[in-house]
Amino acid sequence: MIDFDGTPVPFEEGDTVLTAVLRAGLWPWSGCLCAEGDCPYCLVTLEGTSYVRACRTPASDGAKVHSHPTDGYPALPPPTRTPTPGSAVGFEMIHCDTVVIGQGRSGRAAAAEAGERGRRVVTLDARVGREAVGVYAGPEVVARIPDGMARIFCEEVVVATGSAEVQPVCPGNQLAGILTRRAAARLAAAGVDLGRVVSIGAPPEGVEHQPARGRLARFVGDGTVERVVTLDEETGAERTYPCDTAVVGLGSGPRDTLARMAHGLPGVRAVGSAAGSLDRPPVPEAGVVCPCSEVTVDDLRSVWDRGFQELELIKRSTLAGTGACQGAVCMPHVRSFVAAGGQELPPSFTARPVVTQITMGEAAAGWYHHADRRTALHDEHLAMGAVMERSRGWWRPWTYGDADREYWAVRSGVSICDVSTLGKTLVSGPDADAFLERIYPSTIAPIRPGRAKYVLVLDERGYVFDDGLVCREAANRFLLTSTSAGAGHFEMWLRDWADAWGMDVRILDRTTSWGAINVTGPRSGELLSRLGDGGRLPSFMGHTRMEVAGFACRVMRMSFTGEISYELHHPASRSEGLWRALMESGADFDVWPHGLEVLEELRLEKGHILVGVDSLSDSTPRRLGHGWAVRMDKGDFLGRHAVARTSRMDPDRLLVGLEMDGAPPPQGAILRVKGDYAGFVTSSTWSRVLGRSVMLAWMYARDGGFGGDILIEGRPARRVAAPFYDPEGLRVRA
Amino acid sequence: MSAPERFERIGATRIVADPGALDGIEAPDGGHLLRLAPDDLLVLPPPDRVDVADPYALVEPEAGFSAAWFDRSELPRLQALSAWEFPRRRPAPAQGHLAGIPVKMLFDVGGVLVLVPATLAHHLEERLGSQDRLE
Repeated sequence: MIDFDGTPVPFEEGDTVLTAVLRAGLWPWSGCLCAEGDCPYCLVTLEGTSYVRACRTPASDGAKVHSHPTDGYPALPPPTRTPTPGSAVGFEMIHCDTVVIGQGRSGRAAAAEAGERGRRVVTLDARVGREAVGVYAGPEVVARIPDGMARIFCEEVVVATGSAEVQPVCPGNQLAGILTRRAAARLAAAGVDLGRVVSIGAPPEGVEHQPARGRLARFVGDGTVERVVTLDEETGAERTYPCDTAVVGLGSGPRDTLARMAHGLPGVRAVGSAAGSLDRPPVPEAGVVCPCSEVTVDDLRSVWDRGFQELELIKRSTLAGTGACQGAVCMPHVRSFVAAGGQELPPSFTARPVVTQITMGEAAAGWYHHADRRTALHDEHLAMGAVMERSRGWWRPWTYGDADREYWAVRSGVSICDVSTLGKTLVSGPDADAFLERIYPSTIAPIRPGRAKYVLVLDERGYVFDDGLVCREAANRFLLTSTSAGAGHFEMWLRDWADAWGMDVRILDRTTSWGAINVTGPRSGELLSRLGDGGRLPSFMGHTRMEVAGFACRVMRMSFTGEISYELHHPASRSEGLWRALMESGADFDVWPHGLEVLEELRLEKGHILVGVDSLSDSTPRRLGHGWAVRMDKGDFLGRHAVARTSRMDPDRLLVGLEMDGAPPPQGAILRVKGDYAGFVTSSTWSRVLGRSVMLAWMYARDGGFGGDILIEGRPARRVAAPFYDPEGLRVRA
Repeated sequence: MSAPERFERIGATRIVADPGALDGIEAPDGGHLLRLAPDDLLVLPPPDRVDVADPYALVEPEAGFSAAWFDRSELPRLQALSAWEFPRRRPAPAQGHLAGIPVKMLFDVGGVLVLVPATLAHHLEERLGSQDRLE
C-alpha cells in the first residue's frame, strides 16, 4: 500500500504512483494528464520532497504521498541545521564516448550504432530512473541516476527523447478527467477504469471510446469533466458529449528541451521524433495556456496589445513557460498565437538547465565546501588547546585560551606564532632585478644581499592589493613574501607579468613547502641564540641562513608585532620539531604562543595595515598613508601612471589613526563630524599596553580637509599619528 | 574501496629552470620525474645530487606534498571523483582535480601515486572516504 493523502492505495508490481492512484478510483489532479513526465499536473510531494511527478515515480510499499495544494505552493520542508550523516545525495563522474538520452526506438538504434563503432556508450532513460536534467558544453550531461546524481563526460550526445503530446487549450481544460491519447492507452492497459470515454482528434489505441466530431470547443464539469463540447466548423453548431473521461489526440511535437539546451554545442544532436517538427495546434481562443504560471489566452492578448509581440518577450512578460513543465504545455500554443499575429511560426524559446525539478541536495551533489588549508602545525595547535579559526583560506589558531598571557608574552618576554601562511616566492634569473623593479613601486637595486625591504604591490590602476618584503639572497636571487590572502595567486601573477614583459626569470612558490614560525618579544634573541648554530642573528630588516635547534632555517628579522621578531622559514616537514624545540628551550622564559586575536591587537598598536581589511579595492598608497613606499624617481613600475595621475588630485579620503577612551568601537563603526557621515572604522582594539582604544579608519574629506571633532557611536575620538605604540621604532631595532 | 592509507608528507626536489636544462635531467633509480610545467620539475625521491645546466636554476627541497598509493583496483573509485579521464597508457603523469582538490598523479601498472598539497591532504582524505566526519 501507498499512503496517498491519508488514503491507503494498493498497487501492482510495475505501477507508478499515478497508475495506482487512478486505479483506486481517485483522481486528485486537474488538467490533462500525459503520464509521460511532460505536463505539470501530476506533481506530488513524496516523503517530504515536492514537485515529484507521480507518473515517473514507482509505487512502493509504505510510501507517503501528498497531492500538491490546488491553491498556492506545497510547503517547504522544515529547516535542518545539522546535516544527517549519510544524507548526502550520491554522486559520481562518468567518462564515456557517447551518451544516448532516451531509449525508445531511435534511442536504442543510436546506442546500438555507437556500440558497433566501438564507442563506450551510456544510455539514459527517465522511465527507468536514469534521467538527464541538463546538457552542458564539453559535452557534459548531468543526470539523476538510481544512486544519486552523475556528471557524464563524453564526446557526443544523442538526444532521442521522442515527442510530447499537444495539450488542449480551451475553457475547462483545467478540469480533472482529461487525458492525452497515449496516457489513456497506457492507463487503460494498466487496468485503470476510465468509464465512458469520449475522444477528440486522433483516437487512443486499445481504449473503448466515442469519437467526438468537430473542433474542440470546451470541457464542461464541476471539478471533473462531465461533457465535451465540440463545434462544427462548417455550420457553427455545437455538439455535446457526456463522458467520464475525455481523451485528446491533438498531435505532438518534439520533446526537445535538452536538444535546445545544447543548441550550438558541438557533439550534440537530436534524432528521431526529438528532431521532428511540431504538429501546430490551432490558435488558442480561450482558456489556460500555461498552467504553471496560470497564464490565460486573455493574458497573451493583453501583453500582445502592449507591444510584447515576440516569443521571448511574451515569455518574460507573462512568465509562460517558466514553470514546472518549462513550456511543455504552453509552448506549442504560444507559438501558434504569435504566428497568428502575422508572423512566421517562431522557433521554440531558449531552454536552460535544469529540465526537470531537482532537490537542493541533488543540485549540491558533488560539490564540496571550501577547502581551507592547514599548516604543518595544525595538530600541534590543537594539542595546545587552540581555538582554530578560518582566516583567508587557512585554518589558524585564534587563541590558545589566555589572550592576556599571549599578549604579555610578546610585549615582555618571548612568544611564537605560526606564520606559515605567509606567501613565500623565490625569484632568480638574469632579469630578476629588472623584473622586480617593474613589479614593485620601491627601488630594488639598493637592497644588498642579506637585507630586505617592505614593499607595496600595486595593480595597473595604482591600487594596493598586497604587501610584503623583498629579501635579496644573492645578486640575481630574491625571496619575496606576500600576505596570507594573496599567497594563493601571487606566483601566477608574477609569472603572468614575466611572460608579458619577456623577462628571463625563474619563479617558484614556496608557501606550502616552507613553514614559518615568528619568534617575537624582547627575549626572542636570547632564545634563538640558545638554539642557534653559533652564527650571528641578523639585524633589523636583515636575513640569513642558519640552523635553529638543528633545523635549517632562513632567519628573517622584521616585525609585525612591534617587538624584536625573527621569522624562521624552514621545510614544512620540520615545523613540529622546530615548534617543540622553541617551546621546550624557552620554558624558563615562559615562552607562550599567540594566536590571531592577539596578533591583531599587536599589529594595530604598531599601526600596521592589513591589506584587504584596512584597504579598499581602490586604495592608493597615498590614501593609505604609504606614499613613502612609492618612488616616482625610479623607472617604470606597475601602476606608475595611475599613481602619477592621482597624486595630482587632492585626496578625498585617508586612512587615519584614531584613539578613544573606553571600549573599542566595532569594525565598521561610523565616524561623524558635526553630525555628518565622515568615514568608518576598519580595525579597532583595546590596547592593553596603552590603556585606551586605538583604531584605523577611513576618513572622508570635508570642506577640503580632514579636520573637525570626531564622534564614533556618540563618543569622542582623537586623531593621532600611527604607530600608537613605540612610534620611534626603538623596540623593534633594539 | 578500502580506506586509503593516510596521506603522508613526502620529500622531493623541486627544480625551476630553463626548460632546456630540465630536459636533460634523468630520474633517480626507482624514482620519478614529474614535469609540472615546461620550466618546473619535481624529482621523487630527492636525489643526493642533481646537476642543472642553468646557472639561475632554483633547486629546492620540496616538502609541500603529501602522497598515498592507490592500488589498481581502486582506480574506478578515484575516477568517479574526477572530471577528467585518467590516462590509459602506463606509466603516465597527470595533474588536475580529484574530488575538488588539486592533485598530481603518477600512474603505473599496479596503481597510482597521488600527490596532494600537504595543506589540503586532510580534505582529500575526508573526501575519499577515509574519515567519516564533518569539518
